[in-house]
Amino acid sequence: MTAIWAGIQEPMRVTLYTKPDCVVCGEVLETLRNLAVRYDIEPGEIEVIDIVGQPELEVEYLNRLPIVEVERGKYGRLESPFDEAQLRTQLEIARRALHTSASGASGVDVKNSNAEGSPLDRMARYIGQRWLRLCLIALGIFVGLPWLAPIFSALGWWGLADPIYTAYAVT
Amino acid sequence: MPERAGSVFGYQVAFCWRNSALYGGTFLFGLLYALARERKVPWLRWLLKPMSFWGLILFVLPMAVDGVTHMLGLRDMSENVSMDMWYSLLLTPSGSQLFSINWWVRIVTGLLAALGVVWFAFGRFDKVARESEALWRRYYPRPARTEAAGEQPAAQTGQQAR
Repeated sequence: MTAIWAGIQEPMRVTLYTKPDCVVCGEVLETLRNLAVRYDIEPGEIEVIDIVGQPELEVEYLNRLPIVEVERGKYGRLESPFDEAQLRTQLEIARRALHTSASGASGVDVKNSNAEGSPLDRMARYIGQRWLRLCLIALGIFVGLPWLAPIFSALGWWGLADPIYTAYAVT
Repeated sequence: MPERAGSVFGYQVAFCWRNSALYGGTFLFGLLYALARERKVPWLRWLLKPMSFWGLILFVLPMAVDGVTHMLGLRDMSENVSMDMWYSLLLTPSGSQLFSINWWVRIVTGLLAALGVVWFAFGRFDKVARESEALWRRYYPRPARTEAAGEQPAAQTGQQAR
């Protein structure tokens, strides 16, 4: 992970396509400015393009504003409607992609550094993919053990019953 | 309290009835949620769409009211109420024993709260899990894990992001 971030070289360039009467475009620009530091965007690198008076852009973009592009679309593009969470996600993806690319260009071993994510990432993914099963197993054990305690007691297995009674005394 | 918990073979269960209803209910409704999601059972589809926060409050409130009124000692069932009426409903009017009014109230409010928790939370958990998975696939697109990872993972990620 460290190796990848060590390759940070260029700030991210972001383009916002807008038109004069677009209120949402103004809000997106404000959000971009607020997020600039967090996502390594130079404030001066937020390029605002007014499509009015540019027939080609008007035809293509007029009904899809605002549009946000990172590195001229190379690292992502968002078209209306999108919310701040999606914008943040897109910027984060672009930032990582851009920095990984920079690391590769500067000779950092991307393959060995973070090709599949850190162990923590992989563990989070594993849990995310199976959260319902894991949750139901944990709940089943949690709900089942108190009912096993009296059965263990009846069998005289106090070594098993006592810890359960002790643990569930707090519930 | 021993009188508020069940017993098996004469030994007390380590859970009170309210907890059994609440957690057992969460487990059971969780199984129903799994059925709705995995088997796409049509009559359970409503469970997949998360309930609002105020809905959750509505479902948990009865248990909270029951618990608090018991805790404050406001809820001893009146002895003046006709016993015939309670017995006609197969209910015991006072105490905490099995099938007493209090027992039923604990079970029903516990199950309601459990349904509220599953209905409110599980769909949201699923949404977060889906978003995380989508994010993962954009960061680490297949087959980027081996050969391609050493070449141009960033470019692939960027293209996918479009």
